[in-house]
Amino acid sequence: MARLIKSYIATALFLLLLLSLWEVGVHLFHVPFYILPAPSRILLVFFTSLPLLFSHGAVTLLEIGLGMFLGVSGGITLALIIFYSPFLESALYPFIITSQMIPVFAIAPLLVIWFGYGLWSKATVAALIVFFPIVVNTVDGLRSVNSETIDLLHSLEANERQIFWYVRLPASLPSIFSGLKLGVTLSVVGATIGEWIGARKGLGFLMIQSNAMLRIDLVFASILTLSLVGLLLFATVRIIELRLLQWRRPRRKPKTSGGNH
Amino acid sequence: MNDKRTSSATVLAATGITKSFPSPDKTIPVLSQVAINIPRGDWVTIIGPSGGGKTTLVKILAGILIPDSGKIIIEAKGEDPRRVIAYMPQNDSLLPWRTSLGNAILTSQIEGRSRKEAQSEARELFGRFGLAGFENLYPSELSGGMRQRLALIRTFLSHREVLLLDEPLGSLDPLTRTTMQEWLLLVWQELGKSILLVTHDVDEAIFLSDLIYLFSRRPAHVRRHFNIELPRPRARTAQSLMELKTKILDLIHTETLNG
Amino acid sequence: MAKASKKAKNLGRKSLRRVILIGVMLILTPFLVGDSSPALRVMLDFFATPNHVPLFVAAEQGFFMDEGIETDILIPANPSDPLKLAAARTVEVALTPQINFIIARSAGLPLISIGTLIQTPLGGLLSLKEYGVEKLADLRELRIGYSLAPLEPVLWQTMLASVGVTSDDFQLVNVGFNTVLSLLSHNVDAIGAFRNFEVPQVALLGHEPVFFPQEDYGVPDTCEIILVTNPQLIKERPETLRAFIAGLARGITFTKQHPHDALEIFLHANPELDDALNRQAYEITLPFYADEAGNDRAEEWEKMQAYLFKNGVIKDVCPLDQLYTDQFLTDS
Repeated sequence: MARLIKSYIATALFLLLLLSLWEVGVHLFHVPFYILPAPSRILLVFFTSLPLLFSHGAVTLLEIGLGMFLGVSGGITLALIIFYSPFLESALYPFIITSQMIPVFAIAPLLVIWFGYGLWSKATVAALIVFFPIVVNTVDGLRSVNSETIDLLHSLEANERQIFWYVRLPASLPSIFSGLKLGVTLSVVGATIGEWIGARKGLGFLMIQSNAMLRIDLVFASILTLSLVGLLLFATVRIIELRLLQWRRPRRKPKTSGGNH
Repeated sequence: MNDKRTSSATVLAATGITKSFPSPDKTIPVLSQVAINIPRGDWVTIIGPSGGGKTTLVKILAGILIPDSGKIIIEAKGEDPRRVIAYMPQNDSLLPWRTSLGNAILTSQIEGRSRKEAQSEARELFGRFGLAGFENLYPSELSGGMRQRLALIRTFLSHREVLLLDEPLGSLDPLTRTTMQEWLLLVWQELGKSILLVTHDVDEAIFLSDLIYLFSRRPAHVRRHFNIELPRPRARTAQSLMELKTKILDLIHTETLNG
Repeated sequence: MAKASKKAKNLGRKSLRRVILIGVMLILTPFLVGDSSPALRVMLDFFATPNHVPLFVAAEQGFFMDEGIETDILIPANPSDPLKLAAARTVEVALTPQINFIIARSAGLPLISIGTLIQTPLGGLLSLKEYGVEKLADLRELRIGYSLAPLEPVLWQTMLASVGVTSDDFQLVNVGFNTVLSLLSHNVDAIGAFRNFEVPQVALLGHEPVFFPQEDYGVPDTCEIILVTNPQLIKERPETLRAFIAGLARGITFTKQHPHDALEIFLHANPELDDALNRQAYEITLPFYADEAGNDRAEEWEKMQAYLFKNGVIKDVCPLDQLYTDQFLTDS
């Protein structure tokens, strides 16, 4: 516990150091406020605009949630298909990789036609960015299962469904969580980019509008808010991971058996 | 303690087992016309040079691999023949995300038994096997010897008559190993199973077995078999055992030399 | 054993110091290597369009060279960059709509207008005949698409109010950067558009446009493209700026007198723009280039600033002499 508190304090101090350098640097080098505002100014705008940031943040958070849901469920489904069917794997993999190369503005018209300007077009952009690390990590996880364990289960005449739930899925969870941690961070970016297609609310929308009105301090306050959202999401996934994967942290060293059995 | 087995019924008889594996440029024959019998209630051991296909044979008997030719006859005593044989792989294959108790009841769960029933049965065995109190620890928190015992509990809980043990003590240090051999003996005598053991260790084989099959190099077949009629517990340094050991080692030695 | 580990620790510290030193040097390098090109950097308001023909003509025909200066025409990554970069003096001159400039000024950016390129408004509302819209009031109960808040909503609300349609009676939808797409797919019934771009664009795609110019419906007159700079630059390089405006004015005159040649010169410099749309857009734009690059219609500045202030788009008003200067105009 003491070590945890120490590391938090270290982070806080480091953050303070960075902010101080930033503040001093901006004044020392006469950086204009409309290019890079000083942290003091950003924090001031942040606290005075909390209701605004909060209401836009809630919208973006909702888009992220939907995007994660779509991306994770789609990604895991695709991973299962790839794992169980080598034929489909070779057929689908090129498309999966290419999907990551397509810039948003190229597919934006399609998204608008299919989903309109509401939540779903943003969620889709987020989902597209999220599903790739999920697929890759889940497939890797499924492939990492010890073949001798599978042999054991085969010798017990376990069917594939049992093998999946008893062994494959739990063994893949660490990899899946790696994918989730990557995905949740990317989903923030995804939702923001999605809002550039056309939105009425959201932090990405707020960023563009503030930039157009030359309110750069508000742009950075939005970025700060987005960062906080991202950190919050990451921490949530991490907490769930620690809870589900308790077995990865041995509580004590291997015991030798007492007595001489 | 007279444990001379009077029953001569064979619980498992394998004949003519042949198996080859394809490789990039040619086929590698691994087993050639292997024939072994496991008498009911006996301890049978297979010794042979490394890479000689012993594990392949065990997997075939366990139903994981299909032989190219050959027959396996199982005296099932009214049960489904596939539910007669329990297989314990070379590494303990314990699931790291389950507690010891959870690992122990894995086989029972797969066979559809209720969790509660399996757990109480497992707890009893934990007690008998000296693992009482360790039910809620994860495998990573157990020593090597304890993990092997846990894997054995799991194997026993599958309620099968014939146990195939593929080098179960290979990863243990010599002291733990000898302790475990004595312990295995006691448990076998208590539970009355039929055991097929695969090992490199000649001392281990002669200490434990009723019947030893000596395998040749690849493609493997049975070179010799030895019946050991000595009563147990056996003194490891008994003269008859030492003679047998010398004999077996010589055979292995010549086998290794004759490519 | 102890000696070896001590040595390792020392090596570790030394290497760490070296790494930090190299890292710091790398980070500082961009700051040390400045951009010291002598040419005048002129940043367009966004992509090159026929709006900019006179500027390219002046550059290609050597009008700037005759005045003794070199120019570098730059294209911004996004529409708010020109104002920011001119205020920060990363570029010397920026092109921008008069309204956006007033907004930037009110946000505190150090800028001042020195001339004009397009002296009339270009914006308005665009709908399609096939949507059943003939007069502006027909937009009652319909959806209007826009890109930039809060400016556009204010303009369109003004326009509709002038024909008796209040803001409760129509819907404003943010459609991002793809305004034409949203109109054509009927996601909205009308969009904010330029009379010399989106209007011919939809016509060329086979639809009949219905356009309502903003100045006909209550929005004060404005110059669509003006030229701005940082006031410091006026103090430091007035001759350069005078030369620039003079060259530009000559470019405008040449364009108006030799429209065909001017277009060819422009397309030669921007070959990717040689298509039916840009040629048509040019024809529409011709009458709008600012005579003598003039920017000194005081009443226009006042009216527009007052309008923006009244509608809450800007928070402060500036005195006019801080908004524009006519000292570089050739016939002031």
